[in-house]
Amino acid sequence: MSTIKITFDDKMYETEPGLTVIQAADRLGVFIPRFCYLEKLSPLGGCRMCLVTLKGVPKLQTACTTPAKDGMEIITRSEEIHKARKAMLEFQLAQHPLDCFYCDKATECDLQDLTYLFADIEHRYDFPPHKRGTVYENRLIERNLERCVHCERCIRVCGEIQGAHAVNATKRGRVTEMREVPGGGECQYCGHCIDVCPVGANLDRLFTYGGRPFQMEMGDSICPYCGCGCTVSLNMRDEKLVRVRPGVDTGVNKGSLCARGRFGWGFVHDPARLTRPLIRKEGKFVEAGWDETLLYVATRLEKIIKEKGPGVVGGIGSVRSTDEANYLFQRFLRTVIGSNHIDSSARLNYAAALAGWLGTKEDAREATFENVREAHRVLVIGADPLETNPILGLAIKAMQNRGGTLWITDPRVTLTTRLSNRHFPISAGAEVPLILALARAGLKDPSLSEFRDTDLAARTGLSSEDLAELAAFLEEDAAKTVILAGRGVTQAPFGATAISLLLRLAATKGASYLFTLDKNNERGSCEMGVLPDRLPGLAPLSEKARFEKAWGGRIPETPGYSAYEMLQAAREGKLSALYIMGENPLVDFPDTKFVEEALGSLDFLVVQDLFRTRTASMADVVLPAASFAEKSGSFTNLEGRVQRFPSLIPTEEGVRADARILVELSRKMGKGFALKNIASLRAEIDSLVPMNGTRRKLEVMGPPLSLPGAEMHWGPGEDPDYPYVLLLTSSLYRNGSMSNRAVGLKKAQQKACVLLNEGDAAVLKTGEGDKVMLISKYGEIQVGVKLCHEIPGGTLQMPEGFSDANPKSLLPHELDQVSRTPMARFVRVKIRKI
Amino acid sequence: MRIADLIMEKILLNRVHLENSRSIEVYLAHEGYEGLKKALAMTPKEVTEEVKKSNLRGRGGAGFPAAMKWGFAAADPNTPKYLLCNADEGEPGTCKDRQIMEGDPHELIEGMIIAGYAFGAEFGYIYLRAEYPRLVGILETAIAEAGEKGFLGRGILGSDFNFTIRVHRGAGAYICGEETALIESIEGKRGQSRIKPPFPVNVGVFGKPTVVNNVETLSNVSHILRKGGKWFAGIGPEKCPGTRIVSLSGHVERPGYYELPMGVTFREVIYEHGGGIRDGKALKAFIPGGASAPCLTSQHLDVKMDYDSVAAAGSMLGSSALMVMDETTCMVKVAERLTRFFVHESCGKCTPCREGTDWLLKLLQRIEGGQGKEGDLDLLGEICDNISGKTFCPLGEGALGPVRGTLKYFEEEYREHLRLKGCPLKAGIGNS
Repeated sequence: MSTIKITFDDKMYETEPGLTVIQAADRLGVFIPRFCYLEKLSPLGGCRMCLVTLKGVPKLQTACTTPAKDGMEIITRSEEIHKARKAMLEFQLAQHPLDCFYCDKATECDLQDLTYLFADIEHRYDFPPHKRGTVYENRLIERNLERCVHCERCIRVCGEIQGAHAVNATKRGRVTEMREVPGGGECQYCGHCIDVCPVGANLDRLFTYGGRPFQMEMGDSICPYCGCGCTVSLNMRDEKLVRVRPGVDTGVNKGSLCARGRFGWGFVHDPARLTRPLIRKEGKFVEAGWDETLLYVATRLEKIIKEKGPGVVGGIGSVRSTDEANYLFQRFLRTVIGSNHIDSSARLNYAAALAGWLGTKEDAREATFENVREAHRVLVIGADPLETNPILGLAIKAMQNRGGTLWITDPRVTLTTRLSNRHFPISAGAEVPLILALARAGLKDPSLSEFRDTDLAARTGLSSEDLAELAAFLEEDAAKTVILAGRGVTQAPFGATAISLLLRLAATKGASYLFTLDKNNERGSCEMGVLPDRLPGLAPLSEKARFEKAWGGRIPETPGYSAYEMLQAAREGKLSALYIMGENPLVDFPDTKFVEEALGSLDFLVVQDLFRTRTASMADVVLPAASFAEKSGSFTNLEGRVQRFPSLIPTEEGVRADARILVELSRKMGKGFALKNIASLRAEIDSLVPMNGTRRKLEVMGPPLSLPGAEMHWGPGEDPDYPYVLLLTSSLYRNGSMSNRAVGLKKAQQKACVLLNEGDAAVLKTGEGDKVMLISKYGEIQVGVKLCHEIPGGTLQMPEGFSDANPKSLLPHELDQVSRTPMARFVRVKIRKI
Repeated sequence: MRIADLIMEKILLNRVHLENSRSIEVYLAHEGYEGLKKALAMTPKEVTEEVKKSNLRGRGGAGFPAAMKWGFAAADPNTPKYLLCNADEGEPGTCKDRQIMEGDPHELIEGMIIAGYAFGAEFGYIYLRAEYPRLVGILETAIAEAGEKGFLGRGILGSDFNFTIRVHRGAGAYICGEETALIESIEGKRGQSRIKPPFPVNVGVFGKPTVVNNVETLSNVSHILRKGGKWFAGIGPEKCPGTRIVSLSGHVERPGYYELPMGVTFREVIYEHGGGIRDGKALKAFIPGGASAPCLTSQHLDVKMDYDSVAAAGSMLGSSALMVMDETTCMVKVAERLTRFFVHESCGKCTPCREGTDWLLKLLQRIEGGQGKEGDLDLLGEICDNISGKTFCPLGEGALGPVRGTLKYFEEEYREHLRLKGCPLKAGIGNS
């Protein structure tokens, strides 16, 4: 690459072309002060602190708006420049309230730092300042209008990076106020405006007076919410979390966070956290010591195994817990208990994608966040990354900002469909026929010949022209095309087959792909062997010998039950004991009634969790587990990146990390793991599952997948008794029990509500805020109504993950025959006004 | 009949006195759209050359040669191109564009069509000042009339040139008279100036090559085409030919608007056309070109009214809004009132303009109110220096005109305010 030569203060430098003067200075280590300039934002040129002299130009110029050109001679230090910058500081300070004593930004404040640097600033302004106060219109972000230096970073970050356009300037001149504007965009509580604010004008309301930086310890960890795996900086005071910020431009999130990542940490110190093991005695929970409890668990399990054999014991591992804990969990089940009945809630999504991937011969390229940012086209099928994986959503926005195009096929109206350049509103449940149609167009595969394009088009609800355009979308510029697929595909019948076809399409055309994963360690739990038919590294059971050798125990030969098969077996009396680590099937699995009956049929249920969840309340033994902040390990993000993090907060007395509980229980059962510490555990995992850079080397195949019959039809169908189709959506503000105990997220959104078409609402004589009862064949829930003109009549939308109204209890649990994943995208309901 | 009408043949305002002057019939009966017909018979390049020959300079205030802008935009390969007519006439004391649009809207429309043809624009916007609501209907009626007669729309007068015009109402911000802020405003954004480069002629409205011309500039174009650039270049001074509509206000006998050739003296404008200072009082100062122009005094009466001469005298011609003040006027009050305007209109984007003008105003109010402190005058000067040359757009620089001008010529009056702890021109103060 060619370089340019520029001179700063008579010293010649070489640098890359295409930079502004301030960018060049930053790269070369030449100091230029600034308030408004920030590398990741478009330049503003407003604060006038970065004034420099360009030789040959009479007036001072702003370094942030001046392109650096070859041969340019720049002066950054002179009497004139010093005077000008001092003048700008004096202007800034003229009406700035000098309330640093109780400003949360103190000692992290650019205005303080620059004033300190210039030191000899006169303060000649002797009028009373404008009193404008602080506004609390945003539930999580305080906007102090008096401290504002009008750098507009908050406006730019909200518009350019977050795409929310929620903050804007109101009024003008001296009284300009940066705040939420009626009729503007809706705040998504990413809190990015807090981080970029050079002063204490935008502040975290959860943190208020939380501490000075020197009173806090800070450490990087990995966010425990979704599959993005963002780097978070945990700020602790007196061993308690007080604030979460993004790592400084590190990690996959590059300085961004979403509402969950930043404001969702409240669960860590929630008073409802379990701190003592509980044993059910005569129907009631009694607190007990760890030794006693683990001995009790061991004894009960041994007794059941002795009476009925190991095949009546199953385990549900955790899409929340670490790779290490999941590894130990399946090792415990397989070698200590002797059962392959191992699964997790990854069955609801990633396990199906994995089945598709394993069954594909062609090698499609898996995308990274960087690939998405730099893509020219993104096609989303059955996913809503802006809600489920917000930082992946930001990568899509960045792609659009660079001129890229987002197309999406989804029956729902979501944040992502709203952002898209084109939304193809397919029929509910039509993802698989859509993919079949795309595969027919793009793969010259004779096995697809039994399908007819007109049939498939009719099932998708799209016109043949639309389908042709979608097929053509994948034909061009494939190297810069990313296909994103999510639960719309994985939770459909033959979803695994459809995934496989998509991967073949991607491989044939040269496009890359990525799966959206709702939970932080869906991928890691699967790759660690928390699957009924796969060992760590996704090794098939036929390779069990090398694991037996390493573990010193025998692994059953036949695949075990998947999650729902375990529940079904429990109902039928074929499964007597279940060990659940960090999962809450009673809330997170479809068909609540079915799950409840299954769990109720067990002889012995152990639940290991942070909270006494609904599932834990049914248990015989509850083991209090550590949160992500209190343990070390790794999570595997949706790109397959294995990311380690340290324990940053000591566990409360009585709380133990998942891995430690499993090691101690194995000892109690007389088959103790010979593990000294986390390092020896990691070494064992690495020896069985080699790494390839930051990802695991997974060279495995699965059986090819069968195609559905041409007559295959999946959709809500017709049912006059249940006239409405309820489509399930995801929410940025909830995805499970942690989020429901995070005060920040509860402030962002208190309750779930069902979106109802305005016409339907008129017919039902119900309006915004009214409570209704949604009734399906499987259950009923009460929920508030929100009107929406975008969704078609006869359709409802409702988010999962809120504890106050759980639409999963309305769902059936019909399983796909290939992936054994429940099909859980929609259900027919009727509405009763309350 | 006014004196001005007797003195010379007018160009821009030669139809406004006719009955029904706004209608296209009257316009057509008085050589209307002849310039356009001539232009369409020429190549766009020839049209630009003709206007270049006329040496027409922008009437918005900066005086940039109009044809040069067209040339830049024409040379950019990006399409479509846009012509924006700046009708945001917000400079205090200015009412020139209004007379054209109100009395002879087709003159502007014809000029816009010719300009569009010259640099290849198909879309034109008239960005109309919010305070001119009555003009919306007038302009839209005229645009409709022009469309009916085939002067606007597709295939204008049988050529393959298409051009449409829309009226876009401003929302009441002075800054939107600055061309990049005007562009932001048309795009639906907050009115704030943009970083230059890129310049609007390359990256303007909706990211496309854009020419922004003032109403008065565009209204000259049809005449130039009709009578030739050479004819126009012969009117007034060589470097800045043509006429100027002077908006004369203040303490004169006959305030109003006067179309006069460039290069007349201020003495002639004030004393002949304006009828002299009212009530026989003496002239104290005059502001030659709108609120941001520093004031001049009686010693400058023989300065010629053209861009270069006024600049040489230490002020600027700007929008030719000539504000006249008699001997009873307090110049601190003048500075305070005008600064108040700039504080109100500062967009708030850049520090020196936002904070500095507010500070200036408070100091001026304090001095005028009799609470001025020793050192306030030096501080005024220093704040001006600290603003000067450091603002993002010309608004901040313009805001210094009233303060610097009055300080330069009336420092003693400021000092008297400090000494007397009040305004010497107010009854009761300083008389004892």
